[in-house]
Parts: sequence; structure tokens; C-alpha cells
Amino acid sequence: MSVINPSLAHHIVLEMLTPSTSVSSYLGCPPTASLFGKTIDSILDGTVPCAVPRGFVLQLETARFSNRLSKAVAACLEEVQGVSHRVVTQMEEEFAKLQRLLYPENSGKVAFLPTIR
Amino acid sequence: MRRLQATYPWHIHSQPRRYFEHFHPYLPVVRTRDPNDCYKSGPILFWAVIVTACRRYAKDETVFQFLVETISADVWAGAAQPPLRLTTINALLLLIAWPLPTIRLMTDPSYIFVGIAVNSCLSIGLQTGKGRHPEFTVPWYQLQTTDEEATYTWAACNLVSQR
Repeated sequence: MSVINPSLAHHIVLEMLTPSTSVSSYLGCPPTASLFGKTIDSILDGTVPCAVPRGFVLQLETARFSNRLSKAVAACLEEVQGVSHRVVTQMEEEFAKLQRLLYPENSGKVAFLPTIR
Repeated sequence: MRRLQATYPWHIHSQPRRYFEHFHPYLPVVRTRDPNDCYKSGPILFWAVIVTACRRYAKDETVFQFLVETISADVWAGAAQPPLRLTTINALLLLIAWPLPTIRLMTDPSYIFVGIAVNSCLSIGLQTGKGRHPEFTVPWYQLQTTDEEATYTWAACNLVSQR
């Protein structure tokens, strides 16, 4: 696995931490739907015919995780009293996988946390 | 824009290289690296590339201010003529990823640009990752793209819409 530029990785993390759909939320509009489908999956799986830069793939992975997280939490809040701990655990596991993708050479949580502050 | 191009050729011609060096890796939707080909395929995209590069590397502030004041009208005019060509969609994506410095929260057009870009991609079938669709092969529309361009643009649409 190739190691990406640290500045690019930091940018990706900041992208992920940026409040998604901030403008739409402020305006009271529904957030723009993201349509992560077969084409995006083929990019992430590496089965797309054209070559895709590793940094762009990581951005897509981050966006997909952010999309899944927001959808899961929104669904939980709409249908039940709160977010189940199982959902939290599952999302934490997915986030840990994402961390390992972003920092393949430095996936330890203790080492990772100061980086995103 | 033509007046600007004639007045500042040295300045304009140095910006695409800076764009591809410093901005392109984060959103690689512009697949044509030759500035002349980029301009021929879509002037709006070309000027979006220039104004994006000028955000950090403007040698003359008047150029950047002129671009900011001008490109917004050009983009809105281009977005008002469906079906949108791939270059127009890519120009929207660049202005979403790197908005113009004159916007404010309530006047930020990014949210509307995202909707236009996503729906335009859906209308010409870019969500399939294929650039050629028989129903859009009418030469008048000039909508044929490569699979690579379609894939990158659709991925970028999803990326910026999640922000």
C-alpha cells in the first residue's frame, strides 16, 4: 500500500471533520443527497478501468463513511429514542478502518489523535 | 474575458500549471491538461481553473477581482442551458470545492451548484460511469465524454455534495 502525502491526509481528515451540509442545515433545507452507488464502489474497489489517484480514493472513502454515519444517525434519531450503542460500535469500527487507510504507517489511536487536533 | 486574455496573457498562461500542481490532486475532474484544449472544450471550465489558481497565486489583484466579478455571471448563464455539458459541470464542481471569496453564508451558491451538478450528471447518465449514451449522441448536444471523465465527475459530485 502506497503512503500518501501527510498534508493531503491532513486535508482529508479536515474535510471529514467539516460539518457536512452546513449551509443547507442553516437554511433549514434538506441536505443534498449523496448517491454512492456502483460507480463509486468500483472506484473504491479498484475495478474501475481508469487509474484513480490514491488521495482521491481516500477522499471518496471518507465521504462515503461520513454519508453512512449521517444517514445512520439521522435514521436512529427519527425512529427510536436515541442512537443504539451497536450503531456506535459499528461506526467506530468503520472509522478505525478508515484511520488505517488514511495513515497506513501510523494507525495507532494514541498516535493518531494528536494529529487531528 | 477575451479582453482579460488579451491584456494579461503572461499571467493567464501561468495559472493552469499552478492549478494542476496545487489544486488538481484534491479534485481531479479536469482531465485535459493542455490550456488550449481546455478552453476549446469549455471556456467556463477554463476560467474556473484560472480563478481557482488565482486564489493563492494572483500576481495582480485586479485580475483576480475581475475574474471573481465576471465568472459568476458566466457560470449562471451556462447552468441555465440544459443539458449541461461536462465542462460546465466540472466548472461548477471547482467553484463548489473552492468558492469565490466574495460569498457569505446566506448567499453561498454552493448548495444550489451541487444540486445542479448532481442532477445534470443524472440527466446525461454520468452516474453509470459511462460517457457515451445512445440517447445523447445527437451531435448538436455535444455531450459525449469518455468513461474516465464520467467516472471522475460523478465521483467528485458525490464528494462535494457530502461536504
